[in-house]
Amino acid sequence: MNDAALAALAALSTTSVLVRIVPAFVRLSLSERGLHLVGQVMPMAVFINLAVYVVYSEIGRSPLAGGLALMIVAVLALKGRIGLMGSTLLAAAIYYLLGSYLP
Amino acid sequence: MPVGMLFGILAARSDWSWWEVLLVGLLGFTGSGQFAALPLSEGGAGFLTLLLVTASINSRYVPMALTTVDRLPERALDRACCAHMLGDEAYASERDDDGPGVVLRVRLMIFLAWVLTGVLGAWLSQALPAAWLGDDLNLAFPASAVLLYLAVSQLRSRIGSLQHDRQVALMRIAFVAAGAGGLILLLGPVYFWVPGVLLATWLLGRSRP
Repeated sequence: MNDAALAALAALSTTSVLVRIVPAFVRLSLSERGLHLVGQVMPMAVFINLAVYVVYSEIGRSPLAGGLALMIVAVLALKGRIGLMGSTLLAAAIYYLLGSYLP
Repeated sequence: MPVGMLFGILAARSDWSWWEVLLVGLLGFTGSGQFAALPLSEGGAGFLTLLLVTASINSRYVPMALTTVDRLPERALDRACCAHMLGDEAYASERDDDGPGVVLRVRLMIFLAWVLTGVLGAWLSQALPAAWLGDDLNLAFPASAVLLYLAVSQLRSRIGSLQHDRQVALMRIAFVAAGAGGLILLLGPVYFWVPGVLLATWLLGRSRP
């Protein structure tokens, strides 16, 4: 098994244990503040960093095509109009089309 | 099913074998978490970073799991397996009065469909002629687009919990994103994660409406 697949497998199976199996057996008692931090604030912090990571990675590969296609994805996600699959297909089409002509 | 197949295709293009796709599907069944883990693990991200990201993406399962406890089988192993197979589609399909047998069948069908279409995608990817997909073609872009869509959608759905005034909340998010951007430039895309998440949590959690 390659290292990337092994790391992903370890993280994903641990995730399943933490978010689905443990709650099926254990009931945690956190304060309201703790629940807010763990349940809302920390996931938001992760998603902001995830978005920054994706933009950084793709703009590094193809600044114009990547930047434009990701901007479209972000706008579509904010609007919530055509869903995950539709947005991904549209952005990928724009990305590969522009990638043929732009740096 | 097309999304499961897309995962298999992308994983195979990242040199994962079909049985690695199968194992990750069986033991790491997390849907969007799998899409997130793929480019991150290929980029050299460590276990802690991967765990932080995938656990956050799948944190929505915690309340789902807590509210479906009464539908699960009594035996510990059955209970654990049934809990592991909980997904968005299963949660949306189940009813409050469904018994453990029904719940197990619903979850098992959706789980197997996801896992098997992933393997099918991996096989298809290996069967496609390499010339169809040039070396300079960035095949990871669709996965990046999926990740960004999921991240923005999650932020959109959680923004109300941060602050009642949406514009102020958006400004705070933009400020935190700028901080994360600074950290990624300073520390690089692998080592910025933990300080980035801690800084963002601190900044976002400082005040409540």
